[in-house]
Amino acid sequence: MSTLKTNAILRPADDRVYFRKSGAIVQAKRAAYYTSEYNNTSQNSLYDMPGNLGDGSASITPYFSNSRILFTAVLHPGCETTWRANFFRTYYKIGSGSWTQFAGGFGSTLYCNTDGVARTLKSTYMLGTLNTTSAVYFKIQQIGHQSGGYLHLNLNSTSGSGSGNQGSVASTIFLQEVAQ
Amino acid sequence: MATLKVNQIQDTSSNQYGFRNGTVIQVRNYMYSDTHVRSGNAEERLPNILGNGLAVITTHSNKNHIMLETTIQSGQVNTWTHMLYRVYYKLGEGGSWTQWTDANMNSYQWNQNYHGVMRSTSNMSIFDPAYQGNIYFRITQSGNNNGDGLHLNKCNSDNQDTARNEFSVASTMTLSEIWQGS
Repeated sequence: MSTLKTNAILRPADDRVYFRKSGAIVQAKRAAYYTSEYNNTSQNSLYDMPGNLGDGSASITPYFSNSRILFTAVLHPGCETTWRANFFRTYYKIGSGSWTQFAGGFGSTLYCNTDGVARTLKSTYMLGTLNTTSAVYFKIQQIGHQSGGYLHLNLNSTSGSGSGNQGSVASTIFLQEVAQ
Repeated sequence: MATLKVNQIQDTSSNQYGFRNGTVIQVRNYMYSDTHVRSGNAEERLPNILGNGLAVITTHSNKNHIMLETTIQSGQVNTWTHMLYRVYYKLGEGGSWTQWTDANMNSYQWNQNYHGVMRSTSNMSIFDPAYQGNIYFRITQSGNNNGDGLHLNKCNSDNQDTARNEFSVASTMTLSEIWQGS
């Protein structure tokens, strides 16, 4: 087997970079995926998100211990008249360690006079170096506003229906490893 | 031209790098920055490159995956608009259009009595096309039965219902090829 050791590969004519490790996305994956319609009427209480959005199974195993992880959540909150406000907290843990909240949280507010409207929500956060090549797990928790906090995940309809996932949308967690 | 063939690349600390499962090996971006206004609730293609089916990425292996990031700049006029966007792909020029539901998305705004406002909405998705070659993409839009329809890239700060992109926004599709060795 041949092995080449280098920190960058350059084109000979003008020294333009062909490949460089630092800053490269060396791994991108869909780590969690949930397409069912989910309703939570608890309002001002904190809950794990449904499926593997919140059960702690979403993971990435970094190739390099000094890599940073780019966390992206895509959620599809729907609205039923009159308004909905939901907040989302984000957590990670390394291996069998403890959950640690990180500042990747985000929020959704919708005001409507028709059931079934929805908005796709995408939020990204770059974690610092975690100093591990063990699996890093992620989960999202949600809490609703005390007066308008029902969560209608993946609910969307262009005909005013208060139920159903017309667009078959998927709420998802994406994880990318950014080499340093 | 010099070509060097190796089975593995390591950095000078003996960590392997080079293409591994999940590495992004190419990115293609397509954008549309004109305004486009449509009413009604029928499913229609988005204008130009976003909807004409010519947005393409060429995979280097039938094992590699595709990541799509879509941003729609959705404007509105009084009072509200709700749009459902569907994404389709086809494998090769002669393939059939297939809906990729994971990439579908919704936009929604409410702002009574005001015009020109806009919201940016994005989505992200990854799938395994199991195909090597050209993969084409297009997006369609459907309006809510009772909403005000599509006002793509339409924005201004002076409360006007005019087809004007005052802030030079663009609605985009960004396609990435993700290397998979197995």
